[in-house]
Amino acid sequence: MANMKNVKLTNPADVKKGEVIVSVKDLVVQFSVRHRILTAIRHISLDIYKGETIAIVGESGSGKSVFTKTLTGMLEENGRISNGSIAYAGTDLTQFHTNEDWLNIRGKRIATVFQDPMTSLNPLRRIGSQITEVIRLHRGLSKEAAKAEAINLLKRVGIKDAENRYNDYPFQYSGGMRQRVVIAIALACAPDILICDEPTTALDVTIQAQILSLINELKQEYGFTVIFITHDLGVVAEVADRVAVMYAGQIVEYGTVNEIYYDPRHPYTWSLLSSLPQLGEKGETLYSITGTPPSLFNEIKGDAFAPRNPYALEIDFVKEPPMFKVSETHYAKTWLLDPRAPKVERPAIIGEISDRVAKIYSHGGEE
Amino acid sequence: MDTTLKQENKFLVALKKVGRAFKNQTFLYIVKRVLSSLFTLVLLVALVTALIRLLPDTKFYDVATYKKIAGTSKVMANRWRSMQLFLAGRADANGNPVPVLYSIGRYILNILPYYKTIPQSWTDYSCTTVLESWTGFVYLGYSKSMSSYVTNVIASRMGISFRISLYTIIFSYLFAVPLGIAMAKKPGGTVDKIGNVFIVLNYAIPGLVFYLVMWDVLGNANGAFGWANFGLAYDETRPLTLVPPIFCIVFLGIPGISIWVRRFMIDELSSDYVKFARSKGLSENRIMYTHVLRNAMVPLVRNIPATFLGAIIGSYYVEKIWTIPGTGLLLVKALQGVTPDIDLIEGLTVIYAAISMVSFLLGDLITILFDPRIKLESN
Ligand SMILES: Nc1ncnc2c1ncn2[C@@H]1O[C@H](COP(=O)(O)OP(=O)(O)OP(=O)(O)O)[C@@H](O)[C@H]1O
Ligand SMILES: [Mg+2]
Repeated sequence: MANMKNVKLTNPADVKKGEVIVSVKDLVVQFSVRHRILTAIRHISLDIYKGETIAIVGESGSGKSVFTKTLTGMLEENGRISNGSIAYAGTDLTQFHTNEDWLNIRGKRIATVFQDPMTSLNPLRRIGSQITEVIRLHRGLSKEAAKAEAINLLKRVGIKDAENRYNDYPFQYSGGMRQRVVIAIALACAPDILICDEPTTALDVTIQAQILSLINELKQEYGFTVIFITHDLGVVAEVADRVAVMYAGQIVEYGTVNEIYYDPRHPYTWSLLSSLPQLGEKGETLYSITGTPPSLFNEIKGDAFAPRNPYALEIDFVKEPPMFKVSETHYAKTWLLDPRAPKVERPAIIGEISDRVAKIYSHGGEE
Repeated sequence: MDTTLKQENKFLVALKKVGRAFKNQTFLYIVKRVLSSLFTLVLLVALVTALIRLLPDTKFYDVATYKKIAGTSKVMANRWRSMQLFLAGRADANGNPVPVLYSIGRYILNILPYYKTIPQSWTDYSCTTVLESWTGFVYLGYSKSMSSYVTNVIASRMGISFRISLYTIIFSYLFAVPLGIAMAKKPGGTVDKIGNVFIVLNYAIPGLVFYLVMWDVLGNANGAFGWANFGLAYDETRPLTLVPPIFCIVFLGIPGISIWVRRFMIDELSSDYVKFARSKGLSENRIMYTHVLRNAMVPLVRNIPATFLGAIIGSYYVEKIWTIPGTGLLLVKALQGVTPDIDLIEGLTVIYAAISMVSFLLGDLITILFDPRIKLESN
């Protein structure tokens, strides 16, 4: 096996804002679970553009985390990429195998912020040392310089009295502050791409909003690309430029935020939108999804969403739909978009929802 | 004028320091722990002394000697007996039994560390003129079986046990911790499998058999290790004679440490902070040594003082086989004589209890050093 540790990566500056920075093609990820094969990612292709924030949404188990883990080689021991390629910085990341191969990518080029800030930091080491270890490793700064830089970063992410809190232990920080520290660590090497895997799910609402706006601010300042995982479409409107909707290991629809909110095409997206808790009004019955996602152990025939889809066509149970183009930026994987398909009116509620979204998040409609 | 002010200030500063020390949670905690340990110790002494008082008087003097004296003079014999009972703290100078509480109080006074003089023999049987007495701080009585004061007996034997346990601990951890780490690096891998086989086999060997075999293999002058001249028995002028017993204890002790190191390491390795550290781009070795190892050691270091001090208590078999004059044999010796060596038994009980209390306290303090999350509550 070739040693990928010494592969020459192209300079991040070579990719201009708006150009493709990561190109995933036909990716398949499988796990072996007690001699059975679970296919968690089923032929995903997606381009990610430099400087954008792309949100990945979908219900629990749809493969959001697994998908982003392939970008940093963080799949568990029992998982492997069995098909496809991930082009990044002039190389194919699927060729990286050992932890050693990844050392030049992780942290340095692609950083990750995980869901639970309470457990992301080593409880027995001082906050400061957990930041400086990355700075010193990737940027080769001296001890003093690394400390100064770490304090700067702490200040930047909004830790008050950073000089004194530098020597604190994680247990002396609240959840929100810890997530700020985690973000500071992720920023420490000015990464190209920041993956946020549900960074606010474990935090309470007011803190959530602060962390989201922090990520937005930092993105403006540093110009990195953000891949933002969430199962909350409400959060998406606040942070993302584009949205990819995942279902059962596939991307079933993607487009700009406006396209997904105001012109969703996939029935699964409809159901996701209509189950937004922020939009529900008292006593109102929303269009809701019934049933459960298919087992990923079995081969899935046709459209994975068909059994739960009230608008399912016969062909949905037989043949998997291709990605239909709605616009240059908007694609959806549903037979409803085939010219031969009967005209289906999407549920009226979706229209209302779009209006409500517009009201709640002024973000919508402007861009 | 100025200088007095300064001096006053210095005094105030010192006072403040003391005040702050008392406010310091850890300090308060230690004080409380020490006090509660002492209280437990007193309770233990009371209990043991009360139990000993339940024994018949005949356990405290040699009946044959009594009969021999009685052959000449019954009065003399009775006087001799009451003196024995007086020395054992069971009767007053006139031979009348004392209350249990008195015995307890006397024992506690004796072990309280202040300078005292305790008479041991008198020119007459009515105990008026003292012939010789014991002086010192902690008095634990007189060991009949060893014909010496209990404190002297224990002190003279503690040294060798202490040395053995010190070496044992150092070498056990020196070998067991790296083995545990190597096994944890790749659970189910080759190293882990070999390590597991070693551990299982090691556990399967009966300790005594291993000691006896190793005693011969390592010590026999005509055996494989004859050239090393370890010898079959401990000789205080030749430290090399300690190699076989220490090797045996270390060898048999390794699994007990290794499996815990392995387990704690694996637990830590699956935690989120390790995943995050990996996503930061740290190498596996770096994660292992700068993150995981230290965290995995926290629950382990807590036991080090207990293991260490426990080893001072000594191992009966090891001391018996290599004829090491340590503390391990004492308790058995104390129980073997015609009349049990009550003072030695009670003295050992008190010392062992004190040792285990100190080791628990040390274990807690070490844990605080390693784990900043633990805040000691003084209540
Ligand atoms: N190490 C693994 N071994 C076996 N199956 C796995 C493993 N990791 C993930 N999976 C499976 O892959 C699928 C996708 O999981 P993933 O964690 O990506 O979901 P998710 O979309 O991130 O969900 P959530 O919102 O709950 O985080 C799930 O069915 C999960 O059971
Ligand atoms: Mg997830």
